[in-house]
Amino acid sequence: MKKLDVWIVLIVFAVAAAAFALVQHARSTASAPGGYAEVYVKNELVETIDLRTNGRFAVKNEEGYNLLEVEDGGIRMAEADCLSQTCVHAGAKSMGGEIIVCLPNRVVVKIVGAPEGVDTVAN
Amino acid sequence: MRTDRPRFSIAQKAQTSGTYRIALLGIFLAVILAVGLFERMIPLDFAVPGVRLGLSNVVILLSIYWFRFRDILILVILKCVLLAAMAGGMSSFLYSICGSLLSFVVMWLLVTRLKDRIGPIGTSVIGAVCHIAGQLLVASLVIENMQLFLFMPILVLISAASGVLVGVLVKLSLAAATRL
Repeated sequence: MKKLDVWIVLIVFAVAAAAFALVQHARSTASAPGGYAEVYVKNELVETIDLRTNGRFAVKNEEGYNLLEVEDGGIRMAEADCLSQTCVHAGAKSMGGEIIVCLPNRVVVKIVGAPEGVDTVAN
Repeated sequence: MRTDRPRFSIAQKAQTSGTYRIALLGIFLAVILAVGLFERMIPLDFAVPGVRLGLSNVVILLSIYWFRFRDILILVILKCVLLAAMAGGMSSFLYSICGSLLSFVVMWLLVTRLKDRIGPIGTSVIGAVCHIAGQLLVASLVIENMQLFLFMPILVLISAASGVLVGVLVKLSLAAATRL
């Protein structure tokens, strides 16, 4: 192992660990249990789901089909018609700032404290 | 038993004999596909879903030491096309080919230009980081959501660890190949 190898490994790990700690910290300070889930298709908000009421929501677009399920304040991808099933395996999310991504169907589910456009006064 | 015939390295043999090169590339592709399919059965989903070890990178990095640029380029493209056809599907093909090509070109530059200063371990770690960066870039452009980059630190940690493993395996293989 050459000297530069050691440096590369150390620097990559140090930078990644620092960035990871930063992201985790930002998440833990900002994260309260989220009240709503915003569903985006190709970065367009298509639906805002209240996480207090259980239910199932179908998201259809020209890329494919996803089924979201809300249960006990959390939301998960119950079904997806893609091959990888990555989003289904991601499990349930409930904390503000967490996201579920279905890459093949270009669906992003983002947990937020309050739906976009409603300010604190309205709340 | 010792023989007196001259010994050639694999790189030299691959340069002089087309048949040798083609046969070896065929074996390499087969190994890449077998490892790539096998990897899908190892769950590494504890942090971020969809993470895999990237052991086929051992073969790619070894090829970089032994073959010409365009031979490896064909190897990398075939790896992505065939793995997508066998297991991944169209959308994962897009991400994997961008990650693979970026990581291959960067590792190729490191090996051809900085071979004396960077060994296989450093090369493979940088290659792993480039692979992740390329995939995330394309993925976040496709879904038009830059939040995906929040996954980057944890993905880099995991892939750098597997990059060290790959680098060690390549180092051992290079040493073993000189004894062939």
